[in-house]
Amino acid sequence: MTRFLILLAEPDHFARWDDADDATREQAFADYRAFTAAVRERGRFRGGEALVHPRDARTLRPDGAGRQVTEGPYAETVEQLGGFYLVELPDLATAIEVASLLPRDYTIEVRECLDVGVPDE
Amino acid sequence: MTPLEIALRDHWGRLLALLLAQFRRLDLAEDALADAFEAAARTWPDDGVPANPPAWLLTAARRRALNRLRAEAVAARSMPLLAVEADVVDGARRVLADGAGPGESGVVDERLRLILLCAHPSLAPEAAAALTLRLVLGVPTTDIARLFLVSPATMAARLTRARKRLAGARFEVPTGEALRARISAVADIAYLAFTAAYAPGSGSDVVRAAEAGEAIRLVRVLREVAPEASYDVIDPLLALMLLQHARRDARVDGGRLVMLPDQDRGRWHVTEIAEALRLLTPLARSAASTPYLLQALIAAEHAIAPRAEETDWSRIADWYEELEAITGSPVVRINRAVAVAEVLGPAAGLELLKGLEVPGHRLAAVRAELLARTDRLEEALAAYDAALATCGNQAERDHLIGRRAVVHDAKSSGTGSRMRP
Repeated sequence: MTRFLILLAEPDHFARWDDADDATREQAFADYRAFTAAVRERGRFRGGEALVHPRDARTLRPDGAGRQVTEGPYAETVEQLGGFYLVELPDLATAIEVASLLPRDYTIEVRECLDVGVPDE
Repeated sequence: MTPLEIALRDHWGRLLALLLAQFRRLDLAEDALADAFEAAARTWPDDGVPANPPAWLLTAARRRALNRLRAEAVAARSMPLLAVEADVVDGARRVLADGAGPGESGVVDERLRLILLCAHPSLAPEAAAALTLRLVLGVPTTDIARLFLVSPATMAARLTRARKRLAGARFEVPTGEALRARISAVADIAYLAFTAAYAPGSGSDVVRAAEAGEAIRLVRVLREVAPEASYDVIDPLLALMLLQHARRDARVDGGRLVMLPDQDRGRWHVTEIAEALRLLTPLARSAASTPYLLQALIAAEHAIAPRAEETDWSRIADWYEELEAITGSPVVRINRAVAVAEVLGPAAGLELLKGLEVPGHRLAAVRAELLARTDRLEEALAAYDAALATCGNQAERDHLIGRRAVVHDAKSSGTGSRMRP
């Protein structure tokens, strides 16, 4: 089994979510459910979280000797990171297969985690 | 009151009912609305009060509920939903989507469903009462905890258990006899909350008037949203509460409990008494005798007596007799004995108390009083001691201690004759 980080992004994700109609939202919920069910069938669901709006994020940047803390995300992007998953699946092909079940408007990044043998807490 | 306090008082229940109809989950709807009020408390003082406060609150709450749903969906958590008819969900959706202020979205006021849900038979009466105050009126958990004399943490846990119990319940307005039964249950719940505020078993306050006022407000909301056919259930209770509540200022003097005969009737709230009498007038003639109606009539009899000595005790004694026949309650028997003692003398009252056993201090206190009046001072002192042994309320204790001292002095000086309070 390999661990994968799956990142969910979408242009204007937060505004679109607030403005979505009920049918769109129901479809998103159904997609999430299909995704987690598929992960559990093929491997392990390690967790997943939705994120708050990037305006409430803080970024710590190197600033000479110390650090500078600024509001907002690391980079100004149109695509907003809305959530992430950590899953264990047999291989990258399976990870791509199940990630395709997530809402179709999202841009999804599937990234394998390096296994350095850190035990789970 | 600040605009926010007014919004809480006027709109909490209706906003919650709307959110509940759409999102079908108590925890989600309540947290979202509480967050919206919290956001309002933060932003309104600086940004100014919005033109339509309930619409602002509803939009803010809806956004929070949606965010939380998104988070739960991503985290693969799902919660049980209330059973809600499709047309009710649609109605709530329309109101929420419009962004307009909430109003009656059909023939049924949204709050009625919420009130009836809180009176669900699966909840214990005290849990139902607490939940009703929280959900329908938005009373803070700490205030509810004070009302029921438990810690805020205990009350929070009790409320959480009650909410969980309701997951999967039907969010609906039943019809016919089922509706009447549920409205009767709401009435009992409101009266339970009222009496908890009115006659606390322990602590230093004789009356927690603000909390008692909330229970009355609940009955007013119930009357506002319930069908007219159920007024014969609601009005006797509202009248009874108003009559008792009208005496609140006269009931306490410098932290000391003042008994009914000694109260300064000038401090009774006459508009509340007048409202109660207006409610009772049509019922006294035609309605069936119910416990609330009889109790209200008794309270009204006290309220219309200009002085304690002019109280029509024989009518009160009759009503207590009828009430005892309906309820079979030993507590009613105690009150009946007090009334009978006024009409036929203390010995007749004592006769009614024979063989009676009731937990708490009230029976011993009444017995002590009647014994003192029949000059059986030795027995009266013993009865006062028995009452004091079980009375936890400081103000009532002070009263009993005072009375005991008077009887004790009379006994030592040998001047027994007719101890009146």
